[in-house]
Amino acid sequence: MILIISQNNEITTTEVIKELIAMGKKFHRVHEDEVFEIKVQQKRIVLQSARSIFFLDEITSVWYRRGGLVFKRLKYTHTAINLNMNETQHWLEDYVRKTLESRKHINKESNAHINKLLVLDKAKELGFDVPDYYLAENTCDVEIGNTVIKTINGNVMLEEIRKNKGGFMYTSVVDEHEEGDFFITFFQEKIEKDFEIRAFYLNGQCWSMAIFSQNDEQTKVDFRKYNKTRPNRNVPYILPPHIEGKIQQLMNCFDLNCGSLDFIKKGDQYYFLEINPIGQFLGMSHTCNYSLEQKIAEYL
Amino acid sequence: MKKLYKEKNKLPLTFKYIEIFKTKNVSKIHSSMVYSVPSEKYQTEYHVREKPLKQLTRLI
Repeated sequence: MILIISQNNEITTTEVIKELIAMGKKFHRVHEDEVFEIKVQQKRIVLQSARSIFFLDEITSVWYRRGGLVFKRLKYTHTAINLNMNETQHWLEDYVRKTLESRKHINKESNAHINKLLVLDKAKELGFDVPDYYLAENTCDVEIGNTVIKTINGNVMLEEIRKNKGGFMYTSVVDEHEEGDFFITFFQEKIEKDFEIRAFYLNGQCWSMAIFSQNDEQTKVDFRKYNKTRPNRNVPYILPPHIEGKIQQLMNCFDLNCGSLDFIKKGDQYYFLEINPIGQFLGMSHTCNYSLEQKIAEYL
Repeated sequence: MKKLYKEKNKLPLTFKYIEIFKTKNVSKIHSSMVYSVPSEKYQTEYHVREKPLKQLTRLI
């Protein structure tokens, strides 16, 4: 039995499930708002929620996609008892989580969210070309027009920032000096790219796609500003073996066996940008005919 | 930036470059505009109603 930890409305999960069904593999899909109780039946641990029930020992592989396992914690009125029982419940939950993570898996909840800054430091250490980056609280030392800013956090979306309006923090070129100080911001050298590369990594293997985003004013700084009337041309791409080798080293450093990685190609150089362990890969899978959802289903 | 969003504390420069987009007004959405349906088979309440793109290999 395969355990899929994901979100209720996550499209990629459904696509992988279609493959699992075709292969005749059984699975349980856990949603982000599902709360589990840990129970015991005939010496076997059972996980039960409002919509599913399964034995811990029947799970043979786990795919951590998004969301997470949530457990119900009982509270007690006496402070000392509450503290004691809180710890007891913590270790039970820890046992369940670690047992699941010790099974065959694709990514783990415990390390699915990685620190962008640590990843860049490590990538540099491993010998990747990385555009110069630094943190600053003002624009005194910023080269205007030649520097981009990015979020330090992974979530770039702000819901309902104004009434009926959301906000998206794309990679942006700093076009003017800012008066005074601001909160610590991530700055990076802007590279005039030939094209972008998105690579999907799974257990030592890479599938890549070149994105020709540089000829369109809308997409040249951040290809996620999709031009729907005239989309970027995307083609399958093969990264040189030495880059694929470094990708594997980098992923191993963060104990990740699956994820999407972004690169910029300029001349002979491949500039590493970031790893997204829970990134979307369906677009690339369809465009390049890689059937990545099938590869995931096969592994599980 | 903090003045832009009426915050007391400082915000990163990324907030100055934020791109605003319109979100769907939930009150205006009616049943014919709901693009997903619950599906037991795929264990989700948000199964996409639209037809998936036909892959090139299936056309050949």
